[in-house]
Amino acid sequence: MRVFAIVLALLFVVAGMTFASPDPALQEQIDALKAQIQQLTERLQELEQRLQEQEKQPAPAVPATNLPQISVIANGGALFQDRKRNDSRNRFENDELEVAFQSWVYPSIRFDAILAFGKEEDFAGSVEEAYATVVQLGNTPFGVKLGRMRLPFGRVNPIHPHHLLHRDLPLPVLNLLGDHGAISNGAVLNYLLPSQRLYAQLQFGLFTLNDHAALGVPHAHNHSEHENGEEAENGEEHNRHAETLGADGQLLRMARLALAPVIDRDNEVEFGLSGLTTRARNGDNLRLLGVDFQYRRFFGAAQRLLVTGEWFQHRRESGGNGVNRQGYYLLASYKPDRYWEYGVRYDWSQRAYLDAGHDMLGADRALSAILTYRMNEQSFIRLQWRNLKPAEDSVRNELLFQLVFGFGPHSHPLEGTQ
Amino acid sequence: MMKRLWMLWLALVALPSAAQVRVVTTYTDLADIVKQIGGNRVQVSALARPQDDFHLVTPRPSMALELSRAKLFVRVGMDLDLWADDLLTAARNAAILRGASGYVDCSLGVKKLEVPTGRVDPSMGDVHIYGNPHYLFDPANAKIAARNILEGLKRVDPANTQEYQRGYDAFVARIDEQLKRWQQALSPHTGMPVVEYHKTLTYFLQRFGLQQLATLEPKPGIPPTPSHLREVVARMKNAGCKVILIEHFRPRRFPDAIARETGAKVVVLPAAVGAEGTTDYFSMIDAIVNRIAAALAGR
Repeated sequence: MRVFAIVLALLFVVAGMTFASPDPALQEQIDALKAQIQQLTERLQELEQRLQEQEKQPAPAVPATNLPQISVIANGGALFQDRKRNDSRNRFENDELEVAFQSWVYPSIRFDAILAFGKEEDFAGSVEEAYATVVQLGNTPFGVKLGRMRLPFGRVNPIHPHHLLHRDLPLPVLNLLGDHGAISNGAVLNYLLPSQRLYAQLQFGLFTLNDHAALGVPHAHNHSEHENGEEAENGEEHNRHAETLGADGQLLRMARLALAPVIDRDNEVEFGLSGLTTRARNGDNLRLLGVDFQYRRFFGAAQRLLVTGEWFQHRRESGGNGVNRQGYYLLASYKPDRYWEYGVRYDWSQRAYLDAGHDMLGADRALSAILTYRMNEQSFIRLQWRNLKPAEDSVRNELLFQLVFGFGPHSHPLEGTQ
Repeated sequence: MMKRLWMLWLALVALPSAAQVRVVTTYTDLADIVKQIGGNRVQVSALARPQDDFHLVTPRPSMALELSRAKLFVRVGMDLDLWADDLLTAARNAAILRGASGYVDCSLGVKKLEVPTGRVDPSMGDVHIYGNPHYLFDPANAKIAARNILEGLKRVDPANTQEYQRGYDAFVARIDEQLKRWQQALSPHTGMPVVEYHKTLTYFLQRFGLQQLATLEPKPGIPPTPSHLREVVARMKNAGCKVILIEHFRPRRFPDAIARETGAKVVVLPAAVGAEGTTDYFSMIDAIVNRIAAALAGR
């Protein structure tokens, strides 16, 4: 019994010694961790407090301004050609400077004023467009656009040159609408049809033609009129000169139907039908008809395939005689990312001359390959190779270089988006 | 009898459109927040697709059609969705124009970061004059956006104010709850440097205490240049930065090249609800937090 008591006592002593002597290294680690936790807790509390204080502070107000959106776009470049008789060959030129002022002027009315300073007018300024857009008339699905504007005729005509996917205007536009397209003063009534699966917009326009309206056909030079006394070359002339088509004070009526059935988020297809009538300067009754389409496939971010085309018919009638000219172009363009864009375009167009004496058989043809590098939304560099076969002349190869620089917020109507 | 039948038919026909408020948002993140607040009371769609680069959305007629029927238009604002302005004009719907009751700019009340001072021009890249517009990546700002949406829904559909309020309260409560979890997940990495392609996560990085060391773009919207990338590589090596963050729609060429040179990991993040398998705002932030935390932990 005594032995048992002694053993038990010894066991207690050993056990007591074991538990009574903690490992000092372990204790140090525990203490260090506790200190770290304490520090982190304090830091967390401090950060949370700062965050709460920040959230309590009101967001600084954005300073108010009453300035319109002002933007400037410079559009220039060069033409390199294998024909030596063209004056504008191998020259760098600034084609146009566009200055835009855009602003809302009333709760549902905006005003766009676009001034152009073009080389053809020696950079004297002119008003390219100045119109008010009434987004909605009361609670109706109607809207109105009033003022000087590019006519909503076809797909390319309403688009400003710096916004196109090519350096030049397609031949049917040059030959049948004029080198500035159709621009005039008037009003357009827009009606958006109430449909769930079909974007259907009907537009009716009434315009007055005058000296400042742009609606033309190629100017027919006599050989003696040519500036340098050289032989006139048809393919060169029609790029640079147009003859006003409309008679001063004459009314122009137009209509356009734009349709875009809703397919899905990745595909968009649009169809358009445009027509206008007026009396030409020589007394002929003029009718222009346009049919257009555009298909866009949107892949990943900023990746897009576009196929588009337009067909125009220019008809004039005077007594029993008539002029019937047609033209079309097809464009395919692929954008693999936000910077690059590759395009191919084919043009075919007859020419409509105001003077029937200059009428010719055949048509101008052109094939273009286009490469664009976009620096940002408004600035880009473009190279376009064009193989041009004028109706009555030999084939020429051209390299068109384009530089467009812009700054300031700038927007164009939805119809111009590509 | 005929009159009653006529009234009944009219009521049935009118019911689906009267019951739901048609809301159109510019981006999918906002569409999800609207859905979470409005529930079955709203029918919401986003104009941009999840895979779109949010700076480069092409306006198209089908979008104008959607806006023409909308009762509420919700946008990020701060000029990020400037592309929607042309659509608003084309949609012929005065009820959703700026200043009308159906117009909601979610940036109102957000404490804006990187607001430029002095002169701003394109030499500085695509600088937004109202500041960095990517505020929705900070969950605290999603609450402010939700508040703006709530006010908009109340204006256009006052009859269902209480339901919208409940939806908003639930959304805010869930953000508060998740925010703690997200902060915990990233707290071990506080102060660690990361490189971004574009300044998309400025608000997010500030919220979670991470350091934006550099961007692959020399300036916003300007593509990476060799000299700038050399500088980024040097800075990453000096700072020991091991993570490059890119949005799901960015090209991999530049980040991969930098990663090869620095040994860093390229982390692809969903920058929109619907991208990278995300289904709502919470799963989007979840994915961003988890992928960054894993990359910073070396996993």
